[in-house]
Amino acid sequence: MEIGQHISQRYNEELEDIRNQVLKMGGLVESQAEQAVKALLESDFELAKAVANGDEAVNQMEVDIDEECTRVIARRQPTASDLRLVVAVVKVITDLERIGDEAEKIARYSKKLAKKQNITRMHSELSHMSQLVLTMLHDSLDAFARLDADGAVRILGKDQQVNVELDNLSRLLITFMMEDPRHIKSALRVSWCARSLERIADHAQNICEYVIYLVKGKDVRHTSLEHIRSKYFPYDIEDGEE
Amino acid sequence: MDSNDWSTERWRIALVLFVAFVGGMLTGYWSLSLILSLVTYIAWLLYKLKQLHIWLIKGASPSLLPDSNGIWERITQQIQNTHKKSDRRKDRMVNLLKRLQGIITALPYATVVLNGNNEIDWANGISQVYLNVDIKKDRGQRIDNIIRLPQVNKLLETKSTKEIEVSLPTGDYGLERQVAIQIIPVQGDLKLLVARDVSERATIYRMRKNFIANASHELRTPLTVIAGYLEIMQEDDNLPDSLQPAVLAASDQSIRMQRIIEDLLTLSRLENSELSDNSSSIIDVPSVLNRICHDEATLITGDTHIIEKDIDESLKIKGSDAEIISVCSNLVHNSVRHTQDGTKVKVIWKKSAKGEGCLSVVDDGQGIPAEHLMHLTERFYRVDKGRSRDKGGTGLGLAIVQHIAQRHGAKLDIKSEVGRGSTFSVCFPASRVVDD
Repeated sequence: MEIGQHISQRYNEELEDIRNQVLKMGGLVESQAEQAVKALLESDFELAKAVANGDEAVNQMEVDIDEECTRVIARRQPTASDLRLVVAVVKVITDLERIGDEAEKIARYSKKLAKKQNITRMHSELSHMSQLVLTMLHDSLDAFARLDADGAVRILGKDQQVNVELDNLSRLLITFMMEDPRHIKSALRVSWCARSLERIADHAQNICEYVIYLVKGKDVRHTSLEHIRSKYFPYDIEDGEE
Repeated sequence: MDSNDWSTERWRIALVLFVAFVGGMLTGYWSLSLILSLVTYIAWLLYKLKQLHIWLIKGASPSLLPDSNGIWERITQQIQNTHKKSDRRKDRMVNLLKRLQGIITALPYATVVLNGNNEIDWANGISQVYLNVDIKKDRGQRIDNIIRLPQVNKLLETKSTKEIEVSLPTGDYGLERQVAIQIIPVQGDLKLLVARDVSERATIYRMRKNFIANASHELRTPLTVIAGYLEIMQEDDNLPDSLQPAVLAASDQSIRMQRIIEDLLTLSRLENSELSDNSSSIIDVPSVLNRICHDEATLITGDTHIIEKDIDESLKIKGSDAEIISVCSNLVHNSVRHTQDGTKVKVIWKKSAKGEGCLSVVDDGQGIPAEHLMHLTERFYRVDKGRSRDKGGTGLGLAIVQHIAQRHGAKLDIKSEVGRGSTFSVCFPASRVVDD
């Protein structure tokens, strides 16, 4: 799919600019999430504080991009793939902003957890899950940058793994709580962090769906993965792992 | 050679004229015969010209060479030679280009060529591994769309050529690669993004830092116990006289070790943390310096050194107060400690011409030989192996000063001349200076 195909050079630039802005915002959100996770795993109070206060820039970017999109729709009346781009962008930034919120939440919980005697065994489980989620987020933004529908559909399946991880972690936390009721407060906080991570994975998945919508022109929300694969990707997509 | 080619042609003309002459003789129509012969000759020439033209259009390949002799042969040969030469040159160029590209591709550094809009023009193979830039898919893509780190964004926006270290995800999740990225302008608005893998160096550096911090921590506790017991023993009246000097010496040394460890911990704290803006406060440097000079003159050195002051009382700076105080006292202590009795030490605190707040400590002592100057800020470096130890230095003072100066955007500058004295100065940038 090409973006730069308009007679009006300005129009091309506007669309290209919106896309770059989204990816810049994506980079910001990504590093927020990464640092929130780092603060959580390393019980770094200062870092957690910095992340918890750093959501402002992301929010501002969302507002700016939103406004830019509205202006393009009003002025250029985009059609076909351009319209899809603008619509997809509007949705992607909503999800990105939510991811930023979740990162902020994780940072806030880590702030409280960092003060407590940390429970290292909980953290090792979290580290695996967070890596999975952060990779998903990174790959989904890559797919958006490259307008790579194949890459996007490859990420869609990974959500299941995250859910499995969340289940495992919940089971572990329950045993902690049963062992010693004094752990309940911390364990609950860890559990909320895990929940936030799972939400980030969901949002990353949404971004992938918008990428497929943008490239293929088909809305694949609320559709089973097998259906998407067989209908829109009849050729064999080589799998990363799984 | 040249005349030879044309001689064939001359013979041809002669032949044509001869035929015309013979025709005229036989028939008696002189002019008609001459015209006929000449027309035939011209037709033949045109035919040859056409052959040459067709040959050139078809790409002038040697296999389709029109057969002829004389000047026509020469011309075709000439054309062919030029062709061959330019072909050879082209081959050479292509080879050179291929070789150059091969060399860049084989470099162990990821290299990406960016145009004015930060779009990817070309990238070598390893950039896919380091930066996830696949040139087949990503040509024309903006680099900050692929590497979305805010730090890299800032680098592109500010057009700085500073090298930054970032961690990028590797293919298998969970693992990160520490990469040093630098953006170098080439020509016009072309830019070169170079990235090297510094994971190993980063790991070693971290290990070294952690080791020092941990070792100091581990040593501190037992040392406190030893020093405590030595103190008790010292005050014990039952201690035999023969042991008294030993206990005294041991106690002195243990205190010294405690100081070294404190300094080491300070250093590792300085290394491990960034100076945050929150910890900045306005520091009344003049009063700090006055106090230090007073202490130094009366309490510590007695009357051995002459201390002079040239302090701008209204000049204050922003920074971390504990650290700035440490800089001041370290520099003044050093000057007094490492010079002979009777030396004049001058403490200057002034605004420089560029608006920087400059602290200089000048002495007229014995000076430091030039070969030692660059090593002075290294840990435990001693100019005179035996001497400064008895004066109670830890060997870490200047290292601490340098670190603090760096954190505040300042630089420690040391000038010295043997026999004339030394100058230690730290200039804090104008942005940190506060005027009343």
